[in-house]
Amino acid sequence: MKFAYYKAKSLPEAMTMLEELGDKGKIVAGGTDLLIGIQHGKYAAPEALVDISFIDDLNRLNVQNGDGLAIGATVTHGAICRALNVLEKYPALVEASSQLGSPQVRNLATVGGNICNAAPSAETAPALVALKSMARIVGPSGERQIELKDFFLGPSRTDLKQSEILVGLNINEPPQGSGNAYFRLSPRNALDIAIVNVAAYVKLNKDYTFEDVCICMGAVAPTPLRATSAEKALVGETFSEKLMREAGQLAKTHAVPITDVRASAEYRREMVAVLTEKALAKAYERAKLNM
Amino acid sequence: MKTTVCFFLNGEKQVVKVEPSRTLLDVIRKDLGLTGTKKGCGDGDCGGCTVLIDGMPYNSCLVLIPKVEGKEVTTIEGLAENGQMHPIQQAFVNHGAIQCGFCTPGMIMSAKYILNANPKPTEKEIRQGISGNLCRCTGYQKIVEAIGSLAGKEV
Amino acid sequence: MGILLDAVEKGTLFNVVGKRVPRVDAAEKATGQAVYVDDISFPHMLYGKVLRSPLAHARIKKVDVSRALRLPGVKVAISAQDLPDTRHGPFIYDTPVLARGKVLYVGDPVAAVAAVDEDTALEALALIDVEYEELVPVFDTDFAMSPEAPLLHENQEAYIKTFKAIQKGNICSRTTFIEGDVEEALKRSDYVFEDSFTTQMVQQTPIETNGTVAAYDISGRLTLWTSTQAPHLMQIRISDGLLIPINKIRVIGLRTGGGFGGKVEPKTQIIAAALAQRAGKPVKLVLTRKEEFTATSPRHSSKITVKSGVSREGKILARTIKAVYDTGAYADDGPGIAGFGGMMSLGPYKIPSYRIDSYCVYTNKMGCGAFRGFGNPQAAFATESHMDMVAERIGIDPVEFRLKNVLRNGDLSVGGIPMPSVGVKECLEKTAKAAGWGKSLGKNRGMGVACLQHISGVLSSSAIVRINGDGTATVFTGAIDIGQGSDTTLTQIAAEELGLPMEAVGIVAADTASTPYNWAVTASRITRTNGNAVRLAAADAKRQILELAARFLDVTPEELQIMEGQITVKGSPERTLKMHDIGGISHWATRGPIIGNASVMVEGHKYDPEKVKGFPFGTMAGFVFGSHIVEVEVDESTGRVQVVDAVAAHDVGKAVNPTGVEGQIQGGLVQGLGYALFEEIVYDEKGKVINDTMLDYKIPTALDAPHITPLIVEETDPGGPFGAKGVGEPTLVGTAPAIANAVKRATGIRIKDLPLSMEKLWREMKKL
Repeated sequence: MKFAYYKAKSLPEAMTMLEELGDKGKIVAGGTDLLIGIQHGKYAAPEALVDISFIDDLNRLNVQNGDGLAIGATVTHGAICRALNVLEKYPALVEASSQLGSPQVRNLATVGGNICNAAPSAETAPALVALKSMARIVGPSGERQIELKDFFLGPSRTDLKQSEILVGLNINEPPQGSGNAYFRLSPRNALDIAIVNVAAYVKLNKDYTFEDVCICMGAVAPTPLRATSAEKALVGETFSEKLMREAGQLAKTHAVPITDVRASAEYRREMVAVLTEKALAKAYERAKLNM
Repeated sequence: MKTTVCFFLNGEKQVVKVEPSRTLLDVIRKDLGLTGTKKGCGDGDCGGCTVLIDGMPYNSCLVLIPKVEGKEVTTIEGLAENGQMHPIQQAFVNHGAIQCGFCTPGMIMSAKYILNANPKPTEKEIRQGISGNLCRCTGYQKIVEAIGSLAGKEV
Repeated sequence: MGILLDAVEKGTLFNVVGKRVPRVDAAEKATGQAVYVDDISFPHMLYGKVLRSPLAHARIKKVDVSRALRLPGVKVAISAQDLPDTRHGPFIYDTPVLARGKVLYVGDPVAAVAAVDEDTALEALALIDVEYEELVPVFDTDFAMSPEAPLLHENQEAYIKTFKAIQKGNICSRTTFIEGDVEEALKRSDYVFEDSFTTQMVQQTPIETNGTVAAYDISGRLTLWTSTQAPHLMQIRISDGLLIPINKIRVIGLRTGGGFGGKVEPKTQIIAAALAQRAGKPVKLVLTRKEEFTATSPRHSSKITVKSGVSREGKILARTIKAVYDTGAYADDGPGIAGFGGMMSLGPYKIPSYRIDSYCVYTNKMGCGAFRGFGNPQAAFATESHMDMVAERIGIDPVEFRLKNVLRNGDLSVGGIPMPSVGVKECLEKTAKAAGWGKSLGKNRGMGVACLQHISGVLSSSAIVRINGDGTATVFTGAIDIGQGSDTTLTQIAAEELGLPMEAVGIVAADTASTPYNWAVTASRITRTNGNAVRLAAADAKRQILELAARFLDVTPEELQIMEGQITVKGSPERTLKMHDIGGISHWATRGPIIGNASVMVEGHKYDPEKVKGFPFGTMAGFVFGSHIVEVEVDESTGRVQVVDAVAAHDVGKAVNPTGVEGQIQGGLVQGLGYALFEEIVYDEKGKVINDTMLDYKIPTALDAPHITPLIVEETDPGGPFGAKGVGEPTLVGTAPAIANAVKRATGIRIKDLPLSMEKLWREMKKL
């Protein structure tokens, strides 16, 4: 394993480096996935890495009452877990970040890295999609924003173009009457990877009927997947266990999982229904407390 | 192309000229000869190589050396002072928390962070804190007891 | 011996034995000072790497290392054709140092290189040309045992064997134990039940991988610094593999970062030695974690069918066992494991008639070997699951059913060895009480029980105790402390025997140049078998001390005793001599330095050749017993099992260091939990391991391990040092069946195939 390494001090500097390197360069932040991938031959060894984790602007985690959450791309999962004010309004995200890898890995691995690797089982992707995150991308032609759900194109494939950098994610503050939650299934209680994971966001009307629902599932498709039919079926309805079960069954119909050493496709499909049910119930419970 | 990195290792300033693709683990073990930090997998899956960087636990096998520029790195060798074991080390010895010893240095570094961040951790918090450190010998219980015995004490 | 036995029986106080002393190696390990193999290096040291077979079964047409040798920085590149034509192994000499003629699994070592750094060595591997002719692979024991299966070892008749092996085709060994007329007893039984089980391949996963540094000098002397469980055994394998006499081989066991059976037989040692022989420089060869998961010696997968005949009152009258252990490409410890697993498969119960047939079968997977329990975890999973199934069918509580059948002091083992100390009843009663057996549990919760037996005495050991010039003592033992605590335990035993405080006894272990022979750290045998050697060597030294002291105190040696480093005349405490004086006198004045030594062999029992066939071991001793009770909680929607509580009692004889015993119990139980729930080496259809990382081969984390209450039962063994027996392996044996039995009681579902993965349980729950 040998490569050149450039530490970018600012975003413009990173842009210049990436443009000069072209195909030969690759962005690194925590590097927890990239380094191992290179060592095991999963990724071709790049000629140069551009480390963006020292750019102050990208390291910031801003939580402002009313303003929502702005997560710099190189904010670590450890930082998310320690930010109590994130837990208050965005528990799904903290639940996801706090289950990623191990305490040590969380101190290195970044939110942007977890998103840009675009692993189907990415721990935080379902939570961030369910919270309707916007991805902020800076490239040679300036800054653009897209909905995070549209960012993923396939395993290890994203909407990022040559020399573009994901600089952060913005999440509008979940309104009063909303709640969100994240569940994952894995054999071990730590140091593990999701067999399936699901995040749900719900917003209730004053009469406790569902006004808005967003469900995102991981590890059951090449990209994080919205369970749109389940979302639609819930809007206007009142919570019941039966309804949650039906939503789970609808969510399942979207899933196109694979069979691998971790689980069979059939199990993943069935478990995504179970986790959807659990995530919705938890999100609903939180929404009620937040009326 | 080699790069020069300057950092503090157990309080001593180090200037190394190495390939930037080298990991912190390789530099402290092979270049600087501090072999107390162990390599169990090299993949960040076992926690054997845990060190503290500016007080926080990291898998040193996943940290590229240029990342520690200007940082304070603490390894297991940095805990004992004047020939006296650190209280955490002494607790591990007293509670029978050590068997083969290969996970021990990383485990103790995680323990140090746990107790520094939360001086009175519950059993669950201790288990969460060491959940990134695999031990194949002890079943963890005596480790948890050793760390728990230091709750509320100066470490 | 008489006085000591009396002391044991009367429970009179010991000074050092039975005390919770801190481990003698703990401080160095806590501070990072302990030296493991990857921590050492030498100037100009080279790095070794191994080229491994990409195919599961193939004939080697050609191996050409010349291109690798031309790469700058490469110093040595070898294949089988550069080495003597040898094969080695513990029971059947079937294993070449590098693949010879054929490769038998994906990962089989084919060639090796030594280069100036690891990157160069890896680059060199890619330059070695190997031509293979693929053969039909054999992945399943049913196919392997069928007449159509290709033979893996075409020449197996010619292999050297250390026992009378019963072989046929790919069956490399078959062991049979027979007692009584089992068919008649089954006919006589009120009930007959038969159940079949399977267990999976699991890897030891010590946190330190296997590794060696080897150096070879101009006089033909080989020195190895290595991570091992068996320095003396390693000498033998290297000698057999490279045809170097044992007196020219020095094996130094460094601190070993866990073994669990995976560091008994050579992994890196012979290849590193062969590279060093040619390099003229030290060579370091440390396995990667991927190699550890793909090319070591995991626990055998197995298929076991248990049939029991039971009376209406719940007495087991007869049992038959058919067990098939998949040993993979090389026999390794397989013949012993299949045989011993068979021997253990009655469990700790008195069953008057039995027929046990245990097969060890070659397939094209990595060669399986010892892993904590040596065939017993497989047998215990099957038979202890079966015990619960039988109890349920005849309507008896599982604890009560076991209590009706447990062994008692003086009962015979399978094979007819008398067992003088049998603590299984006490273990079971203690665990049941501590766990609150029978109490009502919450929804989706269940409690499960399993009992177990094991051994702790087999084969030979020796020890030396030297009395130093200052009156302190040093123990020399071939046993290596791999984390189990033998340095501490053996020091305690020597200190107790010598009458010295713990601090006055040092220990030198596991260097074949300075420490006497010990077979291996295996079979849970160190406390009992090596402990006997150490105790007898200390007694020998003590005899000499007293003889010398008697001359100066003008009494007979029998009138003297040693307490806390003082030699006193019994009844006249004012007439004393210090140990310090004895050390000085013997070194500088008269007699010469005192050295005590002892050799032991576990022997005596002869198996009846009509009843025991194809069993590769001689006498066994130090039978140990235990009982595990676990409580599980099952998530009925996912099938996920969480072990929420556990109690384990083990009959260890006299517990030399209770803290160490507890550590063994807790650690073994958590390994058993991994075996039960998550761990499995998974092969694809081409014979390649697909989960070769610690992320996908899942050993339990601190959050998966329950709180464990360890209980020590001391049914002292008259044949053990101060009544001690062993504890290493049995701590894992009961866990998996206890968990399976708990899951059954929580969910109504009986899982008969390990691991008890969440998907497997969910599938069965769905059927309900």
